[in-house]
Amino acid sequence: MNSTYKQCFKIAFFAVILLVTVFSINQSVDFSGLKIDQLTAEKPLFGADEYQYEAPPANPDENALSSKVNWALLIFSILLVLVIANTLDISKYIAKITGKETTDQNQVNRWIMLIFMIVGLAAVIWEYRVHGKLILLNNSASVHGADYDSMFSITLLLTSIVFFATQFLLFWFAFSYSYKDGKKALYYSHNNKLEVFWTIIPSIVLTILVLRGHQTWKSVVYAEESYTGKIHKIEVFAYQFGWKARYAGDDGILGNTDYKFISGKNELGLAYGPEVDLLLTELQEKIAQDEQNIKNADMTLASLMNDYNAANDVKDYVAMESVQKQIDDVKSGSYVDELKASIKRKTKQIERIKAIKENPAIFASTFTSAAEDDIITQEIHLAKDSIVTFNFRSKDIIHSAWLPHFRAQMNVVPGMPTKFTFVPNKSTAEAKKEFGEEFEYYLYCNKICGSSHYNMKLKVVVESQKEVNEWLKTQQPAFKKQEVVPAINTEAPANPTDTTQKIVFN
Amino acid sequence: MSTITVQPMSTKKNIFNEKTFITWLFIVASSMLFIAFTSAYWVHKSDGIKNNAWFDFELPMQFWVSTVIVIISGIFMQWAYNAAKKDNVFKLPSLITLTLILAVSFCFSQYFAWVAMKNSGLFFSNREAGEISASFVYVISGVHLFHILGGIILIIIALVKSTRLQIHKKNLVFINICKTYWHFLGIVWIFLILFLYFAK
Amino acid sequence: MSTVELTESHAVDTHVHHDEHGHHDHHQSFISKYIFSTDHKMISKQYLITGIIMGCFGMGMSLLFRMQLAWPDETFPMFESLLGKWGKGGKLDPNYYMALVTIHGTIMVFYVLTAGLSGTFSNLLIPLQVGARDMASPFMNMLSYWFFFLSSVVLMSSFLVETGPASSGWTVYPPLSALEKAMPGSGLGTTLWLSAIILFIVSALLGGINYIVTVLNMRTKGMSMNRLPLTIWAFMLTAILGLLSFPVLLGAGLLLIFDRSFGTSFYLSDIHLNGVGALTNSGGSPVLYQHLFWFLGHPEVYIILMPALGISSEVISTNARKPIFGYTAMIISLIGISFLSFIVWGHHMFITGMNPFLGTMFMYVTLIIAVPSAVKTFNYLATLWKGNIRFTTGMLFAIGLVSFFISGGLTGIYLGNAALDIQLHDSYFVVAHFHLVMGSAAIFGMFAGIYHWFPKMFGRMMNKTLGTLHFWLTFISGYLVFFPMHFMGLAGVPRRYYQFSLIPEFDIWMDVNVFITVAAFLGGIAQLFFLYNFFYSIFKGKKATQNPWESNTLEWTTPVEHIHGNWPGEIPTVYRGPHEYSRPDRESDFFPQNDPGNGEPEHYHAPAVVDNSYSGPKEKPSKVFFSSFAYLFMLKKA
Repeated sequence: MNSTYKQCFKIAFFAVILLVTVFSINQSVDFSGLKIDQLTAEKPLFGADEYQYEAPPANPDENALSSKVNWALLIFSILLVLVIANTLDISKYIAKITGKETTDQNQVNRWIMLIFMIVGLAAVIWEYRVHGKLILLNNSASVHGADYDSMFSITLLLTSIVFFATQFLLFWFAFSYSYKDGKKALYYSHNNKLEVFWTIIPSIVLTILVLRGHQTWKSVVYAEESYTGKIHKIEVFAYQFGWKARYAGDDGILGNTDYKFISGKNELGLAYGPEVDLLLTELQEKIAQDEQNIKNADMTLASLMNDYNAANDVKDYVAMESVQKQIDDVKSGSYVDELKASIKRKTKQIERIKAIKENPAIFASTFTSAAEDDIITQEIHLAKDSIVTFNFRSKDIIHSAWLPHFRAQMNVVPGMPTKFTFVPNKSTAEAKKEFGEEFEYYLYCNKICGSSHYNMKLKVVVESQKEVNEWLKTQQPAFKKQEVVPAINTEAPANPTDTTQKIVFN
Repeated sequence: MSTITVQPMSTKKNIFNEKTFITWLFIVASSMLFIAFTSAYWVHKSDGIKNNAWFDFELPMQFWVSTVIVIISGIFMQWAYNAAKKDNVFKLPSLITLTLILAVSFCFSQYFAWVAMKNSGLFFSNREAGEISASFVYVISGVHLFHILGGIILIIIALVKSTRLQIHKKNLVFINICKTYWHFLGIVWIFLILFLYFAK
Repeated sequence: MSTVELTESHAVDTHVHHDEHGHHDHHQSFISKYIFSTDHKMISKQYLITGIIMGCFGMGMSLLFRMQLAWPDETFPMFESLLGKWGKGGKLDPNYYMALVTIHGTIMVFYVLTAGLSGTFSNLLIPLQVGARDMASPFMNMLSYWFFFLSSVVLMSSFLVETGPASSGWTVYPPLSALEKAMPGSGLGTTLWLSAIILFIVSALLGGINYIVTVLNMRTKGMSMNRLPLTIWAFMLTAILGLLSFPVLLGAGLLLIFDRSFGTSFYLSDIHLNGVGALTNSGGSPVLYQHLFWFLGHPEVYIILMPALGISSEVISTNARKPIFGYTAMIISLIGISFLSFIVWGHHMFITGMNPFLGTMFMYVTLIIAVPSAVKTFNYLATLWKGNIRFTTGMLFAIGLVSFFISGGLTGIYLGNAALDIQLHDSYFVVAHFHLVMGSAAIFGMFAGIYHWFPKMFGRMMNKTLGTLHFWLTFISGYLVFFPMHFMGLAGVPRRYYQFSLIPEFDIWMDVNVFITVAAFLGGIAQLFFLYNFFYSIFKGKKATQNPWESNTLEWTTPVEHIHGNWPGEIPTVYRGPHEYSRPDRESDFFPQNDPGNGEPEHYHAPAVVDNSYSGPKEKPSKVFFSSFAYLFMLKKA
């Protein structure tokens, strides 16, 4: 009988813990995304009713709440450690006094297991409630983002239940079945029914998740094909360390590009004849200069030696070190090798550009007039509720364009075009209302790309179509002079409003 | 008080001798290396063809000569193994020597194939000229040649052992390893050349 | 059949009273005994100590970059004295931050959790638990260690290079890692990194081939595959994974070396680099490298984790005094995980511009792999249920492993889902995920193994109190460090950022960053207890008995003092599986594998206790039928 009561108590305890857990998750993380009305306008936005986002104050001391809590948690854990250490210590003293091993490490660990479980699960719930409010959930700024969020909520709910249940069982078992002298463990080596049961249950749950994931994934990656309506194409160009955006300009067509055309003035390598000609002469000049440098290697060495001696006179060790390095380079021949390699590279580049220019068919298809009026910008402005495709291009190495608020990310790979299509549905103004006045959308780099990786971001503004058009008017076309080149498309704009519609996007 | 009972050594026989087993596992590992290269080549080629950026060229004649050499050397190797199995120990050194000569000429043939490729403008590096398709052929044949060098060392050891009459009916382990490895290299080469020829 | 009986206490006596050197090895010189040893037990110690030293480096690096993340605006004179020009004025250089992150990852993944964990315990346990005198090829085994050692030296020497060590992340994706001008660390540092990894691959292959051959070919009499301890199953499958995946990494590395130094363009195309101009390379594909890398990279995760799972199975079963629940299911799960791990690599690349259809396929197989992992977790829980759990330090760490495995494994369900990965890719959520499931869980498996088999390795016991302290501190700090990171990632904080102070949106995480760093230091301090305990116990620990944990497996039948060939007499014969604890038909709660017993069956089957046959008066069926109505209508009294 006794054991039956015990069993009941255990089950009740377990059930209460589980209920509290689910309730707390429900309280702390907004699962409204799960509801059917997720796409209707007035859904409660993430935490908006309970938690007001406050912009971080200028003085960090004033940001006291979370910091206090953090420190409290830290102190608590240190105290916990001290308690453990002391318990162990006391037991040692008792052992010394009584002359025999009195404390049972099993007992000590057994109770710590229970305490750890209770404190740990409580801390997890605390995390859900405090930091859970800061996560990006049910506040997406794109159409597919809502789908994403509801998918995330389901996964979060299911995994949280499993998390609490299994962690509870683990520590509860550790607590309640600890060693007792003379007790014998239950010999229980397998149970096929049980094993089949807990193979099938996860399989079913995972099937649900994977099917849902498949749907969402398909709707995101095939968005360009599935959306009906005009798609606005914007090129996003990544380089060490920054981003640039390119709009099509008046003609509505993004011009051709080639990495071989990149020069100081033509940063994106647009196929624009005059600039490419300038680049060719520039390259030739540089080759001549490099050749000159190779010839004058001895003179360079002599002047470096002079520099070294001068630095030596004033004991400027930093300068001496750097000059010494240059002298070593010249002496070992790596200086000349590098110049030679640079000449080869540039010769090859000239050859390749000329190959394009000399082949009439390729020339015609590359150097269209489309590139002239392209607008290169330092910000991205998107029209709310328009279908946007970002075409990504990298100048040098792999970057990754991450727009967390739009639930959008795609790698930017040199030599391989990638793209991402989405529909922004929350304007910056709306977002500012939600997140505070200082809020802006940003595009971050999310693939390790060098020393300034952490500072590679691009501002994204979502506003009305009209505002986008006005902003674009303030931006300069890449090369185009003031006189208007006849547009390629023959559809002449019928009225001014149509014109703006036409100009902006492809 | 529990007791430890010690019983006579088992006389259980394993299918594989340990050293032969190690050889086979090594073969599995290096097959994975070749699979990696060939699948990389395959993916690259299909992508390249899609983007019109693939440069196709005829494999040099010397590679086919190598193929013939490697087949003949394989036959000699097998012959040597059979001779050892039949205890024809005095036939053994000559057969192994013939295999060795063919193995070395295989290396030369590969080298001449590279020279021929280089002369027709297919460089390994494409700093100046050259194409990835050529680089791949260099890498694949080069890694294979590296394996062949290991095989030659094995054959030389086998030759020394055979002259000391250490390879015979009752001691086939080493010649077996040698044979297995050499056949593996031959088969890999035939696979590679056919792959490079036919992979489209 | 002659049997020689030898009591346990006798065996202990004869070997405990030996002098320090053990006269079995008298003929060996210092060099052949401690340095170029071919004895698997010595090699395992070499692996372990090298692994621990590398682990200290790895952990130290993580503390340095955690300091940078917590206090980006402070200056620490310590940086300057430690790192020289990379910490000028007490500020950590952004390039060096990347280098620290990269080498921390490399060391932890390859040097500590692959070589230090699987190398140590495969070497120690495979011959001892299958009943072999040594590895199939002791010489290859020795070479394997020395390649590993050389590889460690080459990797660490990249810190002495002027341009700094490799710094393009532990995955060293080209083009960043291929172009010297893109990042200083991509110069000589990356060359050394690649050389180190190639040496490491050679070491892993030499070791792995040996493990497989030994397990399959050299088992003692009676040790059939279904009597192998789960550790051995895990080590063997790990070795097979390594055998099949490391050569592919070798291929990827070779092509990268050619791209870097010989001007080919396998991975390079259409690049215009600042300060260099347009490169001539064309036609290559950076994504090709990623495919080749992750073909190793994903099995590598299981190469790390499976030995830890095997060790914890053994430790949990021994200390819960219960047979491991579902031995066969555990093996099937391990095999399933091994197989599936080869076809899921694409889930690291959902958003690299890979064909979306491939993404779908990879998502399906990735979520299938969660099933065997779940089965393993439930089996661990069932093993603990109604056990008689002894909280030895090894057991504590094994329980910790299960806890981390659950926490980290569940977040894998998010990341394996292509749709969710769009947002979570390369965020702090990923950092939290793999540090829990692969980092912490595997390192806990390693600690469990060290504490459990320390008596076997060094003949002495480790201090239990210090061990308990070490466990709780590490366990608590592990959760404190990695749990908040989930939320950072979900809030959109990207990984591998040198500092967040330039992005106002992330200011709210500043306190959390400080908190994580302090917690990480707590974890670092905890490891000092371990180091002290470990090295002190090697020399001054309490002498161990032959079978201190009352375990069933064969390694505990060898004498405490190490001898060459492991068993003084014949190798014991095996009569049953390794997990026969607490059998009702036995008085003691363990039943060693080599104990012939008194005619007990191999597996205990409980006799049927429920007797459900009817024992009352009997009647004919027709009579029973009709009289039942009579009873029903009360015509008859019961």
